[in-house]
Amino acid sequence: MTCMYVQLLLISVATALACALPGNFLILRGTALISDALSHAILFGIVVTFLIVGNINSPLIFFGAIVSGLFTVTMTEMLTKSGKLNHDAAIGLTFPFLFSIAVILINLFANNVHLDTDAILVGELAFAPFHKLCIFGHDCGPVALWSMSAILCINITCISYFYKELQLTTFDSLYAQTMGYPPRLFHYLLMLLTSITIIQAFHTTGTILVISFIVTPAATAYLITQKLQQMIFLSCLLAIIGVLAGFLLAHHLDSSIAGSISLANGLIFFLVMLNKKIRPN
Amino acid sequence: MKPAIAIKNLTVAYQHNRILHNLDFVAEVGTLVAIMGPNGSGKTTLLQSIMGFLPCSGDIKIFNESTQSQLQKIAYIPQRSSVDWTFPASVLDVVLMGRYGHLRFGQRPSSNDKEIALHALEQVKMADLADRSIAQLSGGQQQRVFLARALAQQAEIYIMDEPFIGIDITTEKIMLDIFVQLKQQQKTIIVVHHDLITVQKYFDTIFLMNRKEIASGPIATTMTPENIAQTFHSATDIDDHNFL
Amino acid sequence: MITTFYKILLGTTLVGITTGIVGCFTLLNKQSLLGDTIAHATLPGLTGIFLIILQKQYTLLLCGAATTGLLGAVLVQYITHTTKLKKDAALGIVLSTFFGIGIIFLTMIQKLPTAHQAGIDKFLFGQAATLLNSDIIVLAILSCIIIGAIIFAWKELKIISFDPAYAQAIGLPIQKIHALLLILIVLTVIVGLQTVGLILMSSFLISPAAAARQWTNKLHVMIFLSIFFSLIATTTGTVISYNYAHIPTGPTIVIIATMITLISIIIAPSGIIATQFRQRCRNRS
Repeated sequence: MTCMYVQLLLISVATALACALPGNFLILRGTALISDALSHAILFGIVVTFLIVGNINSPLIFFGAIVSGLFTVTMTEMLTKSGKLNHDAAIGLTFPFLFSIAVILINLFANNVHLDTDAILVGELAFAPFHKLCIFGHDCGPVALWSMSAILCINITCISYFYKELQLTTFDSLYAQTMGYPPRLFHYLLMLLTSITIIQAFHTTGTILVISFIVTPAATAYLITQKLQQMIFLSCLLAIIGVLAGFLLAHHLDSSIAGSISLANGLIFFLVMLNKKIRPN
Repeated sequence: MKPAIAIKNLTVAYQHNRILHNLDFVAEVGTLVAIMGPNGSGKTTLLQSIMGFLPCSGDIKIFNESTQSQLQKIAYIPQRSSVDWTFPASVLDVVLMGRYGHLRFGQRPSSNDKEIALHALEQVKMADLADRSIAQLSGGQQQRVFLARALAQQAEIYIMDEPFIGIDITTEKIMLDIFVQLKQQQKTIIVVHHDLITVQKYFDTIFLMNRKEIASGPIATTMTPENIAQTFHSATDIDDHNFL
Repeated sequence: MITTFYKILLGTTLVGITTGIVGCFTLLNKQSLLGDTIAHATLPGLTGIFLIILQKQYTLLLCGAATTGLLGAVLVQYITHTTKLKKDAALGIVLSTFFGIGIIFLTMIQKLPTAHQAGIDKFLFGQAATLLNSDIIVLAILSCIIIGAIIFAWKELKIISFDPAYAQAIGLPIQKIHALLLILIVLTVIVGLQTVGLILMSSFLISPAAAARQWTNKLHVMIFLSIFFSLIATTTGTVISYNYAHIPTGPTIVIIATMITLISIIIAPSGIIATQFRQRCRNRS
């Protein structure tokens, strides 16, 4: 029992870290809610690909989800650029639309266990340790842990390698353009990283709570520090604390882990915010 | 000698409005040019077209080459309101960004880059504030950081959008001193300026515009009451003989 | 059977009218995603009250929903005004934290031995068929309050939406009017909770208003058009969903409403096709 608990904990920590990393840049760009749009669009991608391919474990589903996510981002931007809709409204129009189609498709064609609406909303973390990665007959631990750790490594690598590019295009995109760093390229890189993170985090957090993993620890870090590198590091630290506190809470209330982590993240944020209010420096 | 910037027949339109109409513009090397015109006359649009930010028709040449190939040689200093100053960065972080044009994707700034950035900060008299967070800067200090970033770029042409608005006297003096230095080094400076009175003090050439060129040339001969009236569509209440 | 259908239709019609009107103001004030956040923030109130009283007492549940919804909205404003965080981050934090609390309560409810707990999660996607007659009356009263408030504060809401700087300059109490708008959004969300669910509420507040906006610049015309488009979507959606058991109401209405919006963006006089046409004529001349 303890072993499974540890596995759940590790999966959650890997998820929280992987989510917090791109979250820093999303907040600084003022596009935190694109994570909301992406997660609903990704669900749409998963459902449609699943219906075409027929196998929930097919790798094509991963690609279908990414295509769907990036397509949504592009659509939202086109709508905004056309001048007919402001950015918020474009996001708020696109994702319920895709989500609705996904829900109807599920109800019509896939009304079985793996895609029921509860799981969509809150993930199925509890089942993760049972789905193991077997190489040559050796039990190497849960698939979710391996895949999430892989995503975490990708995020760490990309964000360190392209640190100055992400920093520059976020701070001053016009200037970035003059320096030969195309802002669009790095925007899409960030969207790609966020998308693959959300796809994988889906199992742990479900559609909506992934927003907490992405936005809240980074937002808290933003309140604390005025240096970008410190902010990124702090967001990871806060993400881990959030997971630990969330687990304690979930254990105590015998309740949803993802929900408890979201609550913990929120509480930490409010504590830091109030602390800043009481003691401004 | 080839001009630093030569523009012919520039037309820029945005959502059925023609902002710039068949505009010609020339900036000779080593000159201090002030671009002036009323609100909405397309001054910022002109700057942005030079930088290649906007789709436009017309012929733009930087040192007789295409803009794309010469971007490294142009330093663009936007209005201070164009960035979010709560971004987590120190003064040095921002100035160091001026070196990024010399670096490849994924390449980190070297200690040499850092030295250049610090030297630029010394020129704007802010070396002691290198580690200060940009959220704590005054308007004048923000402008100096932008200027230092441009200096760190070691460009040939400096393009600035209303840099003298809302700054303190110290910053004004420092900026003017740097203008003089840059001019001595045969750099070209193009500035969208807002004030008819100070323009004579700071610049040697003026470009009056209102969606297209009204008049351009040395300040002494170009800033006639007629030209100014035509640019701003109304008589100014400034004394005639200031401009003759 | 017929009575059920008209009950559902009445429920969705009330949602259509209220979201059509209030959505115009949120769109013009650029508060579109606030509706989404408030909707998600109602979950802890709903589930929390249920945990306390352990029965589906509709009015009390809605009071709980309204309270946490309003609290969420206030927190968003608080975060935006007292920290350097922008609106998007504030919305994301409040939305996910409150929803997380709601999910915690929801899982606690699902573990209860109470027979009545089935149905509390219907607020997520809506289940208009479970509306009682008394529920409809409550919704009708709420809708009247919303419409009444809008008529009462029409001038003020109009200026705030089109020219907030002017409104401030002539001394209007901007804070109070924004507070009123917040309360109206919360009430509108409440009306939609059982019929279409909270997950999709944001679309209801955005689609009809966005569609109407493509056709006119006048506020009263925009509101009429918005209600009109909204009712087309809700009626068609209800009819389709009623006749095909597997298709839930909320998502159907959303799809129809969004299609109306996309079509409007393309074919309206200020829309994409017309703009391209005018551009082409201008280029030719």
